[in-house]
Amino acid sequence: MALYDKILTLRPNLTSDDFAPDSGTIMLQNDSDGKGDYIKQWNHPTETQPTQEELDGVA
Amino acid sequence: MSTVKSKKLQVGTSSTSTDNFTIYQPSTPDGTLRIGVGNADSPTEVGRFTSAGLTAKNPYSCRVEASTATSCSNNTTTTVILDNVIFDDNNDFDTSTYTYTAPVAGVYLFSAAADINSSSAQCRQGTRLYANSQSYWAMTGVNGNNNNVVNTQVIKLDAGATVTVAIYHDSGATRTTTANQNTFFSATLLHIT
Repeated sequence: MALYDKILTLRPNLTSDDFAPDSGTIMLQNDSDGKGDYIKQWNHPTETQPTQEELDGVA
Repeated sequence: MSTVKSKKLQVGTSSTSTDNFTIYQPSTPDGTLRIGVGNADSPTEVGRFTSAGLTAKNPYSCRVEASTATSCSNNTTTTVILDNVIFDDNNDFDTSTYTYTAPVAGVYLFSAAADINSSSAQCRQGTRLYANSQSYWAMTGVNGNNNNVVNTQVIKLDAGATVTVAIYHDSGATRTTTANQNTFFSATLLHIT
């Protein structure tokens, strides 16, 4: 499951608009270096950033 | 008033030839005045005057395309794999890190795009140029099939500053870029600063 989908599973109130690069408050990034997707920036006013444990727990 | 006539004039007497410059007319005159680096016996041209003005060589240009597809997750800004050098005379683009490094301080013109097949999804798609810790986005709405959003920017950079290309979409699934000339990065120095 992609990181974005895991986050939406954990934070179902979030929408695609929250991740929009020009207007969102959350930025997911992948540097194409083999390390995969990661949370580059989390500035959402009400939803907390999931911990790595939470993300690892999503099936 | 005396007139000096010569086909070549060397400026500089350094023992290192590349410290010197030569102004010369080609051996077969063609209406141009050449400027070269090096001694009068074998200058390397770097520019020429014609009746229309000055034309200078610019080694600081490059074009790199994709020969490898980039997998881009939904809603994720993903660095575009650019690994096919079309031209890069000064070796300013690193195809292992997909990073352009400005060779000199100056104002540069950049253009980049990544071609994605977003299938039948109607979505947003964008191309990012990242330079000077700043994201420069070109975003649009697309409706399925192959699309590439061309991002063109004029950016002032210090020598050693880096530029990368990334792509974003919200089509609902992981997509891959097309590995061909439609996924590309190009750069040229407009002028030094």
